[in-house]
Amino acid sequence: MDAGGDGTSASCPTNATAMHEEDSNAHPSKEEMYDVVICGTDLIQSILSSALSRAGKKVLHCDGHEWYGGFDAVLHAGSTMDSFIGECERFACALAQDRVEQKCNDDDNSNKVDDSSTLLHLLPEERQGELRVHSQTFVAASIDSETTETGVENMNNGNTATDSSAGNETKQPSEHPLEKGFCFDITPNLLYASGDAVDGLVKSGVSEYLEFKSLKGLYLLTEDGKSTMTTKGRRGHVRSTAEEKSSDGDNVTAVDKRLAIYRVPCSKADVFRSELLSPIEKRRLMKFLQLILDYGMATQGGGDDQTSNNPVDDASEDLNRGDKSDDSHVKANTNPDLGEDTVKSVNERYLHRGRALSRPQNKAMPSSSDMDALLRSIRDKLSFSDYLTQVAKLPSRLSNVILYAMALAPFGSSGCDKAGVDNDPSTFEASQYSTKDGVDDLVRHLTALGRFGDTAFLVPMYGSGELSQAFCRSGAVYGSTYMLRRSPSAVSLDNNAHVQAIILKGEHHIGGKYDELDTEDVSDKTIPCNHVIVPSTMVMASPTCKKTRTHRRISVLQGKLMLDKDCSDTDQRHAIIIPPGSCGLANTSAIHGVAVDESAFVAPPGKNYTVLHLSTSSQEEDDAQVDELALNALSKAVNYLIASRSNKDDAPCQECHHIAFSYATDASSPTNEDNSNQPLGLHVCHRDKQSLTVDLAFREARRIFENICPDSEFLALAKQVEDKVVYRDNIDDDDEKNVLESACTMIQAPTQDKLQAKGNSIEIAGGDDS
Amino acid sequence: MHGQKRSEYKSRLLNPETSSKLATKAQQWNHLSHELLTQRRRLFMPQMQTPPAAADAAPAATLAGEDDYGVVLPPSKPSPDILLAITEKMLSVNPDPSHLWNIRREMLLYTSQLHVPKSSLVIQAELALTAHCLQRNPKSYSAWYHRKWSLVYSITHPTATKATVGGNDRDGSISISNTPSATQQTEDKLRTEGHVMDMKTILISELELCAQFLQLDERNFHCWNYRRFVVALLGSCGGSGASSSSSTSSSMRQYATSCMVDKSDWSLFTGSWSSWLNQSATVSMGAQSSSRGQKAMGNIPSHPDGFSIDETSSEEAHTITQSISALSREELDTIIINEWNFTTSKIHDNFSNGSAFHYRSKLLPLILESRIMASLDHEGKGNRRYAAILALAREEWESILLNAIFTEPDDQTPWWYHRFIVSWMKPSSNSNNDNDNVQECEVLLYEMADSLRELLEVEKENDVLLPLEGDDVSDSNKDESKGAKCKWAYIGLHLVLSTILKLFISRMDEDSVVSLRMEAEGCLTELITIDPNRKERYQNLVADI
Repeated sequence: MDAGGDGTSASCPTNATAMHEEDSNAHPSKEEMYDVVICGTDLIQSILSSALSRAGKKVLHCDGHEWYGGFDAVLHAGSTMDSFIGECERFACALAQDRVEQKCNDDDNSNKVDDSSTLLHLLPEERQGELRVHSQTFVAASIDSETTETGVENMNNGNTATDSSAGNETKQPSEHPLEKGFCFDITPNLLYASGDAVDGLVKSGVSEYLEFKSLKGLYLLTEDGKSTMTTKGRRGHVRSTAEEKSSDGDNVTAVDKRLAIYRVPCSKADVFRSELLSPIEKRRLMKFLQLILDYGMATQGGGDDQTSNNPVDDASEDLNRGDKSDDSHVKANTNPDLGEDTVKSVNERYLHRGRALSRPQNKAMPSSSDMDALLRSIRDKLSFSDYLTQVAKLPSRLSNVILYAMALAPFGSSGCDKAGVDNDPSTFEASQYSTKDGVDDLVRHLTALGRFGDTAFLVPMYGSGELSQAFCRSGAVYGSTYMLRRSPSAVSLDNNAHVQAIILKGEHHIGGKYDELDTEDVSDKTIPCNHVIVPSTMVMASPTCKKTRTHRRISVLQGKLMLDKDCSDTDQRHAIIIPPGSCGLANTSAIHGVAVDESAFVAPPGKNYTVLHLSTSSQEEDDAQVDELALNALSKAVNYLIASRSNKDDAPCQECHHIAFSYATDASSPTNEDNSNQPLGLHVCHRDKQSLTVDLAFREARRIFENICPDSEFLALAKQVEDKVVYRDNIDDDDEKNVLESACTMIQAPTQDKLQAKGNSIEIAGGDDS
Repeated sequence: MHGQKRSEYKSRLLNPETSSKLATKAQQWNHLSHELLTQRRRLFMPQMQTPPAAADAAPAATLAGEDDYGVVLPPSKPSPDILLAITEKMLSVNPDPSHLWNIRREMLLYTSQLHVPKSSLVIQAELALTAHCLQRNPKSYSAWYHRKWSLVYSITHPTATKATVGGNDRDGSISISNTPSATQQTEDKLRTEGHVMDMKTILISELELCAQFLQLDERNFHCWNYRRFVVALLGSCGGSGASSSSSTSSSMRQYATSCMVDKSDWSLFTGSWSSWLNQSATVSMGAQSSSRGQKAMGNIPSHPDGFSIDETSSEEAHTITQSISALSREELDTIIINEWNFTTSKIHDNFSNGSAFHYRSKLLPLILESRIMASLDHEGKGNRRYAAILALAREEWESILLNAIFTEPDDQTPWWYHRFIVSWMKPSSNSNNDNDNVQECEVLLYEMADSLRELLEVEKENDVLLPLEGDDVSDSNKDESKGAKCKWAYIGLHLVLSTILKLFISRMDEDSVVSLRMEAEGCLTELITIDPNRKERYQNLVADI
C-alpha cells in the first residue's frame, strides 16, 4: 500500500504495448510524460480515452481488471465470470481486514512523502466498487439443452439453498465451466435512437465497430384495471369498482392478479393502442407530450446542438435559460402572428424528428397557457412530480406513468409508496428531481421516438460492453496506450496541488494464477502525467456524501418472457419498468429491466433462453437490511414478470439461473460537488446511478473532456479518415444509365444480327453516314 | 418532390458532370423512343410487298437520330420481341409514360395473336417488370394499371398465357401441332385447371407484395386500390359454381357467383366494389359474359389492320367458369377476415390513414355477411342483420374510433370514418326493425354524444387560466388559445345530435328535443367562430335544424 517511488519496475507481461523501463528516479523526459492517465475502462473512461487521443493528447489507459469495460463489461459466463466473482471475494476479505484497521487509519487520506510532493491515496481496487455477490447459481450450470431438465432441477435446489443464506457469498465450486459458454452483460444499457450517444458514435466513426437492433417494446408492470376515470361506458365502470372491492384482501394472489404488463404509451400509435389508459387519459397524455415536444423544439433552437442543453448546467444557467425562453415567449405573446409562425414552421421543419408525436399539419395552435405554466414551474424549480400532478393536473396514475416509464426517473416518490415503505430514504431525491430535469429527460426520450423501430431505444448487439471496447479500440487507433491488470494506488501532487504523476500498483506473482511456473513480480511504478481521470469510486468518499448502491439480478429464463400473440417474431428485446412501491414488491426505487435473447447475442445460445437483467438502487446504509429489501424486491419482480406474461398457456417460462450482485455508486451528481479542494488535474468521473440508457455517460465524458481540452472538438474524426468515409459513401452506380445503354446496344445488335441472318445485300454500319 | 427540395434538385444540374450525364441519358431516351415508334409503325404498316424504293423512303423520312447509330432498318417487318425488349428497358428507367405501356400491351396481344407460344404473355415477367417499375416510382398510375391488366388478361386468357409456376411443361407439346385434337382439348382443360391454381397462388403472393409495399408507405392509395382489386379477383375465382346457386341467400354468395360469371367485367377489376353487394345483380351466363368481355377489352387499343383482340369464344369462357372452383366460401371468408385484420393492424400503426379506413368501410358489409353466416341462423333475418350491424358499429366505435379521436382529435381521418359509421348504422326507414334494436342504436348514439362532450370538456381546459399564487398570469391572452378548440369534435357532436333528432324525434319528449336542438345549434355557432371559412355551410346546417 505504501507507494514509494522506488523506480525499479518491470514491464507487465500482460501489457502488450511499449512501456519503457525506467532505471532511475530522475525527472522524466518529455517522451515519458503522459498528458492524461485514465483509470478504469468503463464506458465513460473509454469514451474519454478515444476523445482525448483524437485531440492529440498522449493517453495512458489502465485498468486493474483483466477485462475491458469494468462494470460496463460483457463477461463470459465461464471464465471472466469467475474472476468477477473472485473479485467479490477479495472484497469480502478486504472488508474484513478493513473493519479491523479502519479505525486507526481513517483519516489517512494523504501523506507527505517529501517536500515537493504529496500523495493522494486512491482506494484499493478491491474496494472500488464494493462489489458484493449476494447469490448466484451460474457456476456448475449446464446450459446444454439436452440436460436442461435435470439442470433446472439442480438449479432450483441450488437456488433455494442460496436463497436461504442470501447475503453471503455462497458459491458452488466452479468445477464445470459452461461447456459452450455464453456472454452476458453486467450492465445492460440501451441507447436513445437519437441523442448524445448516437451523435457521439456517428461523429467519431466508432459506430463502424458496432451493430444495433431496435428495442421491441418498453413495458410497464403496474396495477391492473383502468382508473376510475373511465369514460361513461357503464360496463367498464362497474367492472373496475368490483375489482377494487375484490382486491381489498391483501393476500399475495390478489396482488399477483393485479399486476399486469402494459406497453408504455410513448408514440401516437402507442397511445392509440394502449390498453392502459382510458380515452380521457389518452387525450391528456397526448396534450402533455406534445407540449413537452414543443418545449424541446423551442429550447433546442434550430439545430441538434445539445451543448446548450447540457443537463449538468449549473443552477444559474438554468435560470438564465428559463428566463431566456420566457423572454422569447413573451415576445411571441406580444406578436402573436410571429409566435404562431415560428412554432408552426418548427413543427413542420422537424416533421421527421419525433414524428411519432407530431400534430396533423392542419392542427390549430396549442394554447400558450400550458407552456407558460411549464416555464414558470421550471423557473420556480418545482419538482417534476409536483409539476405533473399540480400544474399539469394529470391524474396520479398517469403522472406516475410519465415519471417512471417515460422520463425514466429511477428513484422512489413519496406519492405512491402506499405499499408501506416506512423508512423511505429516497423521498428527498424525488423532490430534488426538478421539472427541468424531468422535462429534459422526457424530451430526450420523445425526440428519439420514430427513428428506428417501435421504441426510442437501440440495443447494442453482443452486449453494451461492446461500446466501451469499441471506444478503447478507436482510442488505440489514435495512439492511446493500454494496460490491463494495473490499477493505480495513488496520485502524486506537487506543491501547487497539481497532479504530477500517478503510481501504478505492482503485483506479485503475475501470471501465477494459471501457470505457476511463469510468475513474475511487478513492482509499483510512477508515471508522470498532467491529468488523471479516476472513477468516483476510487477516491475516498467524503463522509457527507451519500452513497447509493445499485442492485442487479441477472436471470437466465428458460422460455420467452414476452409473447405477443399476433406477432410471429418472438425475439426478446424488451425493457421493463416497475415503478417504486408497486404493490407487493416494496421497492424503494424503480426497477429497470432489460430482457434480451439470442437475437442480441448476449444470451445462452438456443432459441429458448431469455436473459432478464433487473436493476434497482438503494441508499447505502447499514447494509444488510436494505440490501435484503432490494434483493427480495428483485427476486419477486422476476416471479411477477413471469406470472404476468400475456399468454401463459403455451411455452412455460421459468428462471433457471441467476446471479444477484450490487455495487456502490456515488449519489452526488457532479453539479453539486464542490471542486474547491480537489487537486488540479484530477478529474473524477461519475458513473450514472441507475439508468436505462448510456447517454449520460457521453455527457459526462464530454464534461471532463471540455475541462481538459476546452478548445478541441469532442470525438472529432481525423481528416484523412473523414475523407475516406466520404469517398466511400460517394461511390454510386447509375443504373438508369446502364439500362439505357444496354437498350441502345440492344437495338443495334439484334437488328444487325437479323440483317446478317437474312444475308441480304444491304450494307451495314456507317455506309449512310457520309 | 419525393422529399427533395426543388432547389436542391435543380442545383444538381449546375455540376457539369452530372448535367452532361443527364444530357446523354436524355439523348439515349429520345433515340430509343424514336426507334420504338418507327419500328412499331413499320410493324403495322399495311401488308404490302414493299418495293425497295418505299423501303428506302421510310428510313429517310424518319429523323436523323438513327443515323448517329448507323443503323439502317430493313423494310421487312421487325420482330415484336425487340419492341417488347425496348419498352421493358425504357419503362424500367421511367415507368410513367403510358404510351410505352400501350405499345407493350399491343405487342403482347399481337404476339399472342400470332399463336407463338414462345412469346406469349408470361405473367411472371410482367409482374416482375411492373414490380421493378413500382420500386422506382410507387405511385406510377400506368405501372399499376399494367399490373392489373396483365393479371386480368392472364386470367381471362388462360390459353394465351403462360404461368411458369410449376409443372407446366405441356406447353411444348401444344406448340407442335396447330390443329386441336381431342387429346389436346383434355390437356387444355387440365391446363386451365392448373392455371387457375397458379393464378390463385399468384394472387395470394400479390397480397403479400401489397403488404410489403404498404409497410414502406402505408398511405399509398394506389397500392390499397390494387389490393382491393386483387381481393376482388380472388373473390371472382371463388364460389362453388352455378350449381349451388339455390343456396345463394346471402349476398356474399351472390357476389361470388356473379363475379365468377362476370369475371371479365372490367368495372369489377378496376377495384370498384359496386357489384360486391349489388342485390339486384342477376347471375348472367357465359355468352353474355363473352360479349361483356369484348366490350371491356375494347379499351385496349386495336390495331389498324383490325386484329380482333378478344379471342375468347363464349364457349371457352364457359369452360373457364366451369372449371374455376378454386375457392370455397370458407376460403373467401378467411380472405375477407384477413383483409379486415390487415386494415386493423395498419390503423394501429398509424390511424391517420384514410385509405385503410376506406378499405375498412368497404369491408364492413362483407364482414357483416360472414358474421351473419357464421351464426347460421336464417330466421328473423332482418332483425338479426340489423343487430349485427349495430354490434359491429359499436365495436368500431369502442375499439377504434373512440381511441383515435381521443388520441388526436385534430386528425380528420377517424372523423370521416365516424361519419360513415353513423350513417351506416342508421336503421333503414322502411324496414320493420324491432324495438330493441332501434333502442340499442339510440343508446349507442347517446354514448357517442356523451364521449364527445367529454372530449370537448378536456379540450376546453386549456382556456381556463390556471390560477397560480404569486404570479402574473394576466398576459396570456384568450384569443390565441381559441385555436386549440377542436373543430372536428364539434362537427362530430353536431352530426350525432342531429342524427338522434332525425331518427327519434317521435319518441322523445318536448324538453329533450329542445335541449338537443339547443346543443346542436350551439355546436354550429361555435363552429362559425372557430372556422369562419365555412361559415355559410354551418349557417345552412343551422337552418336545417
